[in-house]
Amino acid sequence: MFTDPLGDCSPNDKRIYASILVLIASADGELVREEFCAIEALMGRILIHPEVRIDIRNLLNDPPDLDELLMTIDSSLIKFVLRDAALVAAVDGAYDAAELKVIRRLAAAAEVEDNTLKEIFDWVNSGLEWHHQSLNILGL
Amino acid sequence: MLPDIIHKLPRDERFAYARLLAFMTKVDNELSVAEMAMFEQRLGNALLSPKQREMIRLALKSPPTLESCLEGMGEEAGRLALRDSVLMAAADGTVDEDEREILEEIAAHFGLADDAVERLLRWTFKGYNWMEDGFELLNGLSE
Repeated sequence: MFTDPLGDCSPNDKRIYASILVLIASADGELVREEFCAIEALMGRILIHPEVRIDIRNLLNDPPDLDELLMTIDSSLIKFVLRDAALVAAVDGAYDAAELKVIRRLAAAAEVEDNTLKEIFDWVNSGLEWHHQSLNILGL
Repeated sequence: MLPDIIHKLPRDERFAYARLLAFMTKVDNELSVAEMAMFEQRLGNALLSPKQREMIRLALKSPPTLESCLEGMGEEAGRLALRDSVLMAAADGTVDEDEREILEEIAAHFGLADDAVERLLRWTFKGYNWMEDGFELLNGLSE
């Protein structure tokens, strides 16, 4: 039930997807542990090969160019990248201006308008609330 | 992929957490792609070392016993492992009797309330709905 269409895309598209998430995480020049966890989890979720994950992690030290990535990614996947970029950017508690800049470029590439982008942000917030509820159930 | 606290636990506790998840993958004798994806997602959240990941993937082929997983496991790691075991068990759409029994056993081991598993299942399905909302939002973009 938690599978994602991204899991069925090509290894190359998975690599580009994860590379863009790295760009988001490193956009504000500061990679926090929560962002790293989010990227690792999203790479795991779409079953990126362990060796490819090593290459992706290395990109954290030398982030790729967004324009180049957008030119090569399958256009139908950009909206999924946008969704998960919003997730990664939110995990440290706030959207940084540099992160928002990248997100807006992704939104433009996916032809997503501002009101829909707001819906995506709202969806992310509701996910954060949902996840936090588990800690209450567990008494943590 | 959402902010969690598992990465804040000591490394050996994170490893114990992952071992319990590896055990859960084999409870119903079949590992679906959905379960595997959830397992890998939670493993990513736990930030295990590459060597530990390798050991956990090996544990998938030869799962540990529940007793050995629970032995010496800290309460916080155990409770988080229970929550994520529920997520994994439900990932293929159903939680069968064997899985439910094991989940109740883990909950009892860590002193959780009698209705904890039920509440976690409700929380899990709420999360599935949240994911569906995300898909619908994206699907709407294609129309």
